Amino acid sequence: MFASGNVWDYWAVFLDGLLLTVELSIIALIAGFILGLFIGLARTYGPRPVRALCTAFTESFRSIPPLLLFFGAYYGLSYSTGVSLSPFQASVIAMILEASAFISEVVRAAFRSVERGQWDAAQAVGLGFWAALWTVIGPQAIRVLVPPTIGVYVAVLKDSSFASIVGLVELTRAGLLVRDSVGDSLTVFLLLAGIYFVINFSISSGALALEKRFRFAH
Amino acid sequence: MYQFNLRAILVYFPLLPQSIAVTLVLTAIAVVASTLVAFPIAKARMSGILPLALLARAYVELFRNIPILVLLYVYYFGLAQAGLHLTVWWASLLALVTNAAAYCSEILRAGYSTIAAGQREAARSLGLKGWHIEAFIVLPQVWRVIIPPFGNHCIGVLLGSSIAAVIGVADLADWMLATGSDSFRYMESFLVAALIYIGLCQAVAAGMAALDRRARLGRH
Repeated sequence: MFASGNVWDYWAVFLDGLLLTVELSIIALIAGFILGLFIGLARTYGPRPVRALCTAFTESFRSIPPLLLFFGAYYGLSYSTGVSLSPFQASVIAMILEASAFISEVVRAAFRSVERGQWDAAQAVGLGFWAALWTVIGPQAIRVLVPPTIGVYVAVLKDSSFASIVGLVELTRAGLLVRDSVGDSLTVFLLLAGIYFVINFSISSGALALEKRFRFAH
Repeated sequence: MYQFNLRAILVYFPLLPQSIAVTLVLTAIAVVASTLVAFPIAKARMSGILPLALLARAYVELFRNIPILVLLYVYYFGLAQAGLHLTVWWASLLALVTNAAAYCSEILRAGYSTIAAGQREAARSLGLKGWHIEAFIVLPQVWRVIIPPFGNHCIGVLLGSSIAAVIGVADLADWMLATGSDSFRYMESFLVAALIYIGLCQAVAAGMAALDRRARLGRH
């Protein structure tokens, strides 16, 4: 193997990879949140067949290892539909599926935590289902929703490392590439571990602080 | 034109039982080993001795926030460069155990926090000592409380064990990778492996739910 240069000479490669990791995880979180919100609400308030379908969705995508999801989205979808997806598109699909399954659980727990009496009260003042959901139940559920959603974001960000399997040059793959040209595995992977740790630890510490604030707001 | 055809990968099915066994063995060893490692970490965090508690907290935060795939690369490629050559099997196991122990120690800590101090005092007043109190009074009660999160934890380890395939351990995920690239039947091999993982998760969940029900009945 050709070993040349120093790991730190490649800081721009790491930075590009990091930006792609963050971009990927934010897209997955936002799209996954919207999809997960609908699925979670359908699981909580939907008619029985819809509920069963959404539960099957959540249970399935929670129970498939991320490695398989990325593989299935990239190779599986490309070969079976004939539409060749870029590694980025495939990774987005895999991560949205995973994130929405996690989020739908969070949403269901949050909306179920709102007391039954709140519905009765909303009905008593003449609000319909949607109006009650939007003005009475929703705002109370949001408070419970925020901290675990940030937890999901950390999980999604960590699992985005599997996008390296399908050839997307996000942070982990950037590290693998630098290793190939420098040869210094130990420094490269410890650096990767350090970068992921700093980001995720800051996010989860922020979530904890936020949780405390939301608790005080009651 | 592509047509979905499970028969195309039928010849790879005889390899399935072996790969499922590898996944299950890897998971089982990792669950047991990580639980054993998690005990001293949880104890250290609850010890009230500041340096110990801080060290335990640092361990938990560190290993919860690093992707398990990156951990695997550190152990497999990084340590090899430092002169410690781990086999694919040991590197995978080490990644799973160090990661899972962080989560498991938090579960144990939550479990211990539900045990009232009076339980230990009562046991001591009956003449029980040291590890007797721990093994016969405290642990059974901790176990009852932690069954549901521990079940989720086992499922997490099962899903995480698929990282072993990345460096070539012949587990269920590796069966999918190999079958896919050998037959170009990527969708079929993905669906088969995914369904088996879903089935395994459901089985673990059902098993833990049964344990939980039994523990609940025993309480009355």
